[in-house]
Amino acid sequence: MIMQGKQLTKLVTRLESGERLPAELYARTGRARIVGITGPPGVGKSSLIDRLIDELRRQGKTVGVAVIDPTSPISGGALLGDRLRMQRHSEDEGVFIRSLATRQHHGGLTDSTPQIVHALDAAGFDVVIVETVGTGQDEVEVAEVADTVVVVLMPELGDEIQRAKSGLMEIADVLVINKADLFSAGAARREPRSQNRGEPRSPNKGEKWERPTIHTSAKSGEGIATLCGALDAHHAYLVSSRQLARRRERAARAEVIRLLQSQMTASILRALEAPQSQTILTNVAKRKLDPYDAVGKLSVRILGSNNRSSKHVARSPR
Amino acid sequence: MTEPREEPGTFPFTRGVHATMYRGKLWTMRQYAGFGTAQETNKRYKYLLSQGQTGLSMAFDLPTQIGYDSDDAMALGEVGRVGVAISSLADMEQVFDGIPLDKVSTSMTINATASILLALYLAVAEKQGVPWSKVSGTVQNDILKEYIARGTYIFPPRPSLRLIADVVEFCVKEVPGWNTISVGGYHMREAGCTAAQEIAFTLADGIAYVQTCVERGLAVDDFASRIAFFFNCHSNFLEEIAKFRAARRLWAHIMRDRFGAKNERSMMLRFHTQTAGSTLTAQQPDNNVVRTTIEALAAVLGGTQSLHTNAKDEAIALPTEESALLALRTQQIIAYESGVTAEPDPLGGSHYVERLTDELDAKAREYLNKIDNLGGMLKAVESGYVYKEIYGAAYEHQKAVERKEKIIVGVNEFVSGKKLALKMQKTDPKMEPRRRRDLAALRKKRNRVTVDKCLATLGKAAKSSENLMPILVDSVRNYVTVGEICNVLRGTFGEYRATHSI
Amino acid sequence: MKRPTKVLIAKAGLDGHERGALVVAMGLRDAGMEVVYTGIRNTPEQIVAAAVQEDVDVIGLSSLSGGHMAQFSRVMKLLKKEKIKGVLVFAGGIIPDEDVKKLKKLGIKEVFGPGSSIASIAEFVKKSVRSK
Repeated sequence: MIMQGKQLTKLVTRLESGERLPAELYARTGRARIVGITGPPGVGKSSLIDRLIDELRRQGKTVGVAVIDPTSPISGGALLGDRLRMQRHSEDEGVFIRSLATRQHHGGLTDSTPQIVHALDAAGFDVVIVETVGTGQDEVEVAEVADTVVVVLMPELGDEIQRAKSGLMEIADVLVINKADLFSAGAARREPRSQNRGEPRSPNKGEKWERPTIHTSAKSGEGIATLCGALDAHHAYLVSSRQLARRRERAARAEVIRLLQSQMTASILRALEAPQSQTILTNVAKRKLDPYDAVGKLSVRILGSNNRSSKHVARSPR
Repeated sequence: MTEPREEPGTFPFTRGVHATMYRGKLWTMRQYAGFGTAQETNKRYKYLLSQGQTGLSMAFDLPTQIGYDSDDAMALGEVGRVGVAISSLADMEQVFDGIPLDKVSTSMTINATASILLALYLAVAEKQGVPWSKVSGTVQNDILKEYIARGTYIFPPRPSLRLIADVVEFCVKEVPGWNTISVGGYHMREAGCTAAQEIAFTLADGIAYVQTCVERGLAVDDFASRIAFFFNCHSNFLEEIAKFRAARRLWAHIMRDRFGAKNERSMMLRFHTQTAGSTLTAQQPDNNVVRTTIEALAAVLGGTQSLHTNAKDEAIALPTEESALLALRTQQIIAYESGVTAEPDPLGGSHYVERLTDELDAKAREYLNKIDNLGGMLKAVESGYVYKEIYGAAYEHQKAVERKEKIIVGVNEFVSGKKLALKMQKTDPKMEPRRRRDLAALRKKRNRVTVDKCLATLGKAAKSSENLMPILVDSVRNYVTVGEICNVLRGTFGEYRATHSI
Repeated sequence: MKRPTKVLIAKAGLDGHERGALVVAMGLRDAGMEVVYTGIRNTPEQIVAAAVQEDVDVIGLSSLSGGHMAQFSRVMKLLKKEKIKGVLVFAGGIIPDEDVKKLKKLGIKEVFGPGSSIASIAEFVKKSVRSK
């Protein structure tokens, strides 16, 4: 481990607050396997991660975990209750768990999640797990940071078909049906596409990845070893098929675009503070000026100001 | 909702489980006690019995409740604090030294380790020469509420339900006078739920236990009359009376219509009540005597079978002898001086009370339907639904108090300048080291071979589906300790991991 | 950008009553803080480890079974041992007056007994964190 304890936690806090990741740390990233775990609330993601940590530690791997919970739009506060289910790992020096609040960011991650994932990667963890809430179309950002996306669902008759259409299923590399023990004896197991339940195998070079469906019970531990096997298989697939490089490119692109957007938004808001900008906006409201023409006028002002902006990445104030 | 002409002692027992209620026999005055050492507990029991208390109630310390011996590392700082420390038969014998078990009825507040503590009690009876058929009492033995409102769980739900059914099955045959489960709403109410939720969640727990025993192959009429309940009595006087009436009506219907009980005794909801600890305040503690009196009166007018009244300092620590006595006197004054015992359900027929009864009945049914739709109480608990409901209600209550929508005299209104300090009972700091020494001596004195044999048999039996009670009784007879038994069971059953959060 | 105050609400020892801790946790969330709740049955070691990883500004310790002296003093010792500075520690639950003095000597800034309002706890936390 390169970085631990207080040093790491303080770094994460700085990243959370909008500071940039030091370049020398970024140069050290790319080694860790990034696993995203998402799914609707209440399916047992945190309990699953608790078990996964057991298994990964048994294999001698170190694990960094970022768990994300929503910030209340009303109070600005957050109740970060996922750690509770992993708390027994707190003293394990090979495990680092950090709870993060979304702080009004939408899409499932926080503003700083990519940077925090880099920090955990650079710190030397073998596996970095990001847990987010994912209910549907919007919360698919996790795919931008993770090499492997695990979507966790619960056995609910009828809803399975809905899931098939939602954005979640499009990003899932591994599908987990948790709370397998809640199946009543006679209930039919209906799943989006019937998948083989056996050992997921890594496809040969050139083959497509066949998404496995794994039934787990975080309570009993059933299926956890199989899940770990699936994660290994997917990673092997990514490497052998060059998909990993492609994903990393996608992630890098997404990260840079985000940072650019953030910087741009900050410039835009700064520019709008100027009295001349206020006049433009008032004219739009009064129907004296068309919104598109307003943009034309403001663009000149904004692009001009952006060239003069500082090298430090600005985060748009919320 | 109201049956035509409901009468006390007749189905659905809204007005009381007996035709004459307290005219025939008063409720049992059962004050919770037990703290520190077995000797101190024995002394306090003898005192309370001499003062007219008619039933014994046993509280255990957290290590005993969670299956750790007093010398276990996990017990550090907790031995003898919230109740008596029982690690072996030697401790249990001391508690009941000079107290013949065929002359008293003992209620034990014990859940995850109920089977073991019952085994210990039966072993003491054996040593006293009292046949098990003459032994009477209760074990709380109610694990579902532990996962959400009280926290003294050990094993996951399924093996825990197995142990509960083992106790029921064993007692049907061997200890017919024993109340095998006391399904509790008290703690969930203390945790913050509403009166309607208290009814619903308690009865839902009861349904889960009855279901488990029925699936075991037991006939409902063989065991149901030995399932008792334990309710809270809170500050809203009339609502609480209505709550008890609604609960009786609902349970009678559940037992007859859902479980097909034929014997009326299976349909009677009999319950112990404790006045609400959460209504007691540290500020102006004498006010608590008044609160407890009102709450006790509601429980009596609500037809309770057994009652614990809180001492005024119960909010802060274990009660002193003086305040414990006053709490007992409170019940005696209600029983002998107030005249409310003259008629069963004296408030029956009051427009308001009948209306409240119907409303609570309806609200509770809504919750019960919701729980059924979730797949039963076990799943409702595991899914976090019940947890969210309870602590959500607790939070709403707190906000109401801080907004002064709910007034608590002496706390957010009518505050007196001075805050009164209470005299408190301290636990002896030398106790823990003494317990460690005593246990070390016990372990040396025992026949190690027999102990190991018992533990091996237990381990094997736990993996099978056989009833564990006989081996538990045999083990404790041979001075196998509570912690040793639980460690074996932990190995087989695993440990429960809290999974829910707000 | 200044981040919201981060709080760890922790239950030590075997006590399993969560109402007080949960109500305070929810209250502080509604007061705009980020609150991590540890659940029950934490050792002092687990509490301090969580406090470090979460990089909290505040720790709230809850105890109702009487084991607070042993457990809380161990937490304070560990915080010192790990050289964790600048973290505000407060306690709540059933804690006798004479123990309050002892706990304050150990560095616990305030002890909130039964009947304390969330508003007063939130106010206390805000003021104490501001003055750091």
